Amino acid sequence: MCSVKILGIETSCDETSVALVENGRKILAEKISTQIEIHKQYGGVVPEIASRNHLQLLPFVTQAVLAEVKTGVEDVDAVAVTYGPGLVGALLVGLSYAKALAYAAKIPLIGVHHIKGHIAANYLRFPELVPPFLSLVVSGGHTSILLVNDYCDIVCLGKTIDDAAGEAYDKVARTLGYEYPGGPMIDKFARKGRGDAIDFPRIMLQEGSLDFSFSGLKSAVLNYLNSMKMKNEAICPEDVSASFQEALLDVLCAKIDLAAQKTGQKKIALSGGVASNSRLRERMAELAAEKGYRLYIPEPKYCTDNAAMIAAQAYYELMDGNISDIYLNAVASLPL
Amino acid sequence: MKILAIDASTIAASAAVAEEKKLHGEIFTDYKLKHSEKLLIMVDSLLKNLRMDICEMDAFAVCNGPGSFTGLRIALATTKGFAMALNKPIITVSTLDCLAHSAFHFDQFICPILDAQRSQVYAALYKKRGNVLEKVIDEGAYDISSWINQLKEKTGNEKILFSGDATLKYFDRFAQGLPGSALVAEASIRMPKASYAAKIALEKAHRGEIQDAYTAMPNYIRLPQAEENFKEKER
Repeated sequence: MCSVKILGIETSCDETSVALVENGRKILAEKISTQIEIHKQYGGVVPEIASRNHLQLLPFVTQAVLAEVKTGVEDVDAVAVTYGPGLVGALLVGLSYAKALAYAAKIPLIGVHHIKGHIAANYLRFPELVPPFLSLVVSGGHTSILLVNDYCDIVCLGKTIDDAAGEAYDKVARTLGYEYPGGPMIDKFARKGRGDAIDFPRIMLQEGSLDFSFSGLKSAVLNYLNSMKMKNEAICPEDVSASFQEALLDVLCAKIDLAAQKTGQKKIALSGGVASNSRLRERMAELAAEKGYRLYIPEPKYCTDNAAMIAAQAYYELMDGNISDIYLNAVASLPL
Repeated sequence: MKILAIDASTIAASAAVAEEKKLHGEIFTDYKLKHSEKLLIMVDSLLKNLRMDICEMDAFAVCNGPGSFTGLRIALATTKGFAMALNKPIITVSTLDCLAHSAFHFDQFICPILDAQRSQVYAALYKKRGNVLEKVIDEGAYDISSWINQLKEKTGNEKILFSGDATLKYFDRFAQGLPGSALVAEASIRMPKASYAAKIALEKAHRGEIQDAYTAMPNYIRLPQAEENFKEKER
């Protein structure tokens, strides 16, 4: 089998990442430069600051990746880049850079959908995983159940109609006074609380629907905190964290279980930032054991945004002949 | 030295290829274009027209601001991509210098102004002395009224030629504040052009003012809004 080396570039939010991946499965080198510390003081990602940092960091991150495998741009077979969805200003930096790099190096440019990239993170960690399978992508921007018929044939079965799961985590965390990013803080504090302390709603939408809605749950938590404050009663942040988390995870587990039943799929692959949540991983493992599903969840590093997953998906896009032209533009909200 | 220059500091975009004392070609557009889609196409069609390959370029020049933050990043990211792929240097050129040089032959004052929103302009003031353009007032983001006052102080009753994307937007105020002095640059030199960036870049290259993919960055002049607000709160 010949070796196809793809240089992946990801700048859709606040991680500046470049990776070199062989045949969609093997990471030859990768670098992720996170800006979490920079954005922390603002309580969330500031697009203008993220964009400025991407521009400054990209050449350094690229060089670090190429130097690690003692290679140069001339040994790269294609350039892959996230073109959406994401923060448009941030996307534009990676996209403009990738387009120019591919053009000057005279190699193909492959625009990759960010969600498809998240799914492909699983190919990097699980050599045995091949389509078809079910995928649950849960992050600060997305909550979707997808049927991966083939590497490039992916159907969305359900998605959030309002907030993404990670967004609900962040908003609840902010109200509880946890520092950004709030998801990992809730995960940590929930460990010390009771999941059945407060009865928050499990919003399932209509019978049989695979869509999600988390804004009602978020509001219920905020209302609870307000009413306790009005009554001058003390709250237990650990119990609020645990009860919120259990309510949210009950919905995620029920929906992915329903999707498995509907499609007859036994393989379930998770990804996205929220998939690094320790309780989510436990709950999914329990569900899989009970129902006989085969569960795939990459380690946290590959759940969050990274360029290796973009290069992994790009390999299969390239095999399918999906090469982008130089008109490729960044798209903030991009359907699958 | 063969140089490819690009500009996307304003709503206009351009690409040019030049060598010492010779402009080989230029493409300029100022019409409802998205830079992210068009900039590379413009470079590609220019090179094809010239029967040149991007590998032949010895350096890349880019207007690095002030200007539209997004436009500057698209141009810089594109230049960095070229420079990384071909391991060639980058020469950055001030967008205001670029504009001033396009009015080089005007022998009174030259004042390029770029729209900085919030009733401000990015501006500088230039005047030709002998064979060089001298900066009379340094570039910065100025309130319109304070800029008019500074111009009054420095120019006496001499003519001032205004160019840049804020010219038409604010010209009435300049004409009013500087009666009899303010002139509008004609359309062909009112917006930044890569050909002038290339000319300046060649001069900078000879002076050794050269950067690369790692060091070339936009001159935003302003901090991000969020950072300004944060600093304001801390005060």
